[in-house]
Amino acid sequence: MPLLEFTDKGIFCPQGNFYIDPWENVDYAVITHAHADHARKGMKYYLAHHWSIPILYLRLGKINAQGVEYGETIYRNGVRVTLFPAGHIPGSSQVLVEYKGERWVVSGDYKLENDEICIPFEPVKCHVFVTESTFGLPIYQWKPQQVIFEEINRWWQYNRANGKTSILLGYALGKAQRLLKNLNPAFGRIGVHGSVWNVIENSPFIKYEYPIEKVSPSQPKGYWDGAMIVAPPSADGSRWLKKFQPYQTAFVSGWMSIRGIRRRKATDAGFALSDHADWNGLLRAIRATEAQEIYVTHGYAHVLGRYLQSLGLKASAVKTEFEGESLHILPNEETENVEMS
Amino acid sequence: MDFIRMLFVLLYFLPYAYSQKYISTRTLVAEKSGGIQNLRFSPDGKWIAGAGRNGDVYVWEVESGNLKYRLKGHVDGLTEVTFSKSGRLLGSSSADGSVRVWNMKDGSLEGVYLNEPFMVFDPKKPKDTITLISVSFVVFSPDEQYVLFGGDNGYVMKAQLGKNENGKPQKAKRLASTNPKEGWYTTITGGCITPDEKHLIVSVGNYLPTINIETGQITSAFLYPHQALNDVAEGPDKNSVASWSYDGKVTIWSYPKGDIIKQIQASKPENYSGAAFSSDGKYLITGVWDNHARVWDWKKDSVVAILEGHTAIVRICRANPKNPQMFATASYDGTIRIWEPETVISQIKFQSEVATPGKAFELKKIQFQQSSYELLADYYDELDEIVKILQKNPYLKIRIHGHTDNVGNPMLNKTLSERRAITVKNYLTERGIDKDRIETIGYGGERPRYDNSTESGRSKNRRIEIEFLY
Repeated sequence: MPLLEFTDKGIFCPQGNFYIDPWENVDYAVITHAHADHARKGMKYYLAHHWSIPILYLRLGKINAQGVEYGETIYRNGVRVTLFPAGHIPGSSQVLVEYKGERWVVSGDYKLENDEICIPFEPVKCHVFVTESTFGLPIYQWKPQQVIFEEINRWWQYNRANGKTSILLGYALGKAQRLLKNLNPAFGRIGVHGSVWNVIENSPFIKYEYPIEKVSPSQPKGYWDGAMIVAPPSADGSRWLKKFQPYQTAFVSGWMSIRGIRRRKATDAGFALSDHADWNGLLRAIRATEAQEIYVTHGYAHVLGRYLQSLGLKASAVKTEFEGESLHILPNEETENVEMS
Repeated sequence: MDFIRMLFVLLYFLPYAYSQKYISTRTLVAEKSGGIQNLRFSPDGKWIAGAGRNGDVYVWEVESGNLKYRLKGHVDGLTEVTFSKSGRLLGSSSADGSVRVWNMKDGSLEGVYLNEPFMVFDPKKPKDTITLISVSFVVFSPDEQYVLFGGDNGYVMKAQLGKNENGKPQKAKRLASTNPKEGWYTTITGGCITPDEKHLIVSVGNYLPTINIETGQITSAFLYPHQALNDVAEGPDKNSVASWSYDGKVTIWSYPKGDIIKQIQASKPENYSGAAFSSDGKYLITGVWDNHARVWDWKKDSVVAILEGHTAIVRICRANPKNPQMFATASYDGTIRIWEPETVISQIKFQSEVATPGKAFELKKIQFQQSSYELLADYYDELDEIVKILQKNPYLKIRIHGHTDNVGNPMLNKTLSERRAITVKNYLTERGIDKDRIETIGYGGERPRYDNSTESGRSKNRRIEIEFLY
């Protein structure tokens, strides 16, 4: 019996009787991070990094959840479970599962670049590594984040000079905080959509050096002229944006490195900033685990899997229901309505 | 309106108007410890044990500040040290999964007790190496017959003392399981004997279960629904216990009822520490707020003093069980500091005056020839008095100021004055004072006390001054 199995409910540990990021209702679920495709409703007992807990409450309502720290161990029927930082979003974790000397690590989503809002990715040595592969193609090579932030701030300055408000569209959880940490407050006001605001309120461990305001109907007309607004992708094309007219929109995602996708997304600009590892990042992370057996999940699992095989590793692709960095709006990711003005 | 604003200003400044001042009267250095994780006073208040992050136990005498034992044996960082009720035994628990019991009389090892095993893969070790599950706390039963401990797998372990040959590891028996029938199992983070001395109370997840020491039966469990609990300790009086939770709060619970009597936001969230109360129950002492510790008048919710001096985070604080005015702080800077109220200083007098900090005393009987740094006689009662004061107060340090008159090259005078101070330092070290307790500084002719236009004035300016440091 392998230590972890890939079942139609999710990644399952038969000895410890728990799942990792299951997509169907189970009793015990270890959650790698609070993004909607990894943290779903309907589990009896949740376990996650304690930074994720308030977000899980916010998004899943009343659930039975327990928070742990990185490195803290939990025992279940002789199986030891330990979380390690994955660097994807605050609270995101890799899950180390140990039993009778065998070590498996499930990466969840991860990136190697230190974004200064989460604890950076830490490679964990193991026998078997289950990795994501959202951007598992050699064409994905990220620019250093500082370059992207400079581009974003320049874009903002340019819009402001042209009398326009700038709207940055990115995930409310993770991406938005990373953007907010790196804006240049000298250019004007910074406002956020209600769903971003909720995440900020539930992530008190992230400190911002400048004021961030929630967009609300009570603000007078013209209040947001030339400002920077950070909103979830679902705001794109919505009535909520009307009050900022005239404005420019930009989508912030790893997918923005592909020209075709950029055109189809119909935003005015696009910035290729991702919270996932790029091709080289994935390979570096896999090598650092020293694992001899690799399971590749969501993303370009087959491409990365075959490449790993060519390196002499035992690698296989696994089908899961994780979406990685979705181009679409995720269920319950951004459904909160902000009052219209 | 103005009145309300004033009130706010007052409220804002109120916590900063500390009513008391404590000074660090001794700094106990744990060489190569990599930081101190925990500390305890012995029940008679005469000894301090420190739990090194390197796995060593350090024991100092409180009075002199001298290191008495450095006890080696654990192979991973320590989590706790504890004394038995009589002070005869010292226990240490470690992340290596073992508890060691030491005899305080001679520092010898009385026994090693093992937690449950867990097989891990460690690339540095042979395959299938069995390790032990980390232990978080250790206590002795009040009758000193048993040692009790618990750790990461949620079990409370118990072993009989004194039955095994010296140092031979002995497996402990499972006394109780705190793991719930449903839900995740969690780590036992701390534990202490309850005020009735019949039970053990431990912190695990959101609960403080009470366990009968004899039978292992869990008799009650206090629930803290907000956050995980990091430690539980004796409360301010005999009818209470106190917990430390991950939200940075100290909660005082009535015992055995389990009502919450008081809560204090003792630190920022996400810090591990424990609560400690002064032996009269009046003050709460807390750490993990940057590099300082705080003394609280907990009934009034106010901080009465800040203990500053450590150079890394203060991991835990304790109070001397026999001296309500003496606290100790353990820090990741590798030292334990002992703190006492400033008033202890008023007992130190020199030249019939109180040696207040910053005050420099002129040594009138010490004089130098011009351009010379040699002492003019080989017996000085003033210096011998300083030797006596330093011997009597082992925490005290001094700074020696050297001065010259204004004749000659100022640069050379500065060197000369420094040499004069060093001459006096040598006099003191030759009489047994540790050189680390003496600082020297040379001011040259910059700070004359007397008229430099007369020879008698110049002669008086060629002088030494002493400043007492704490």
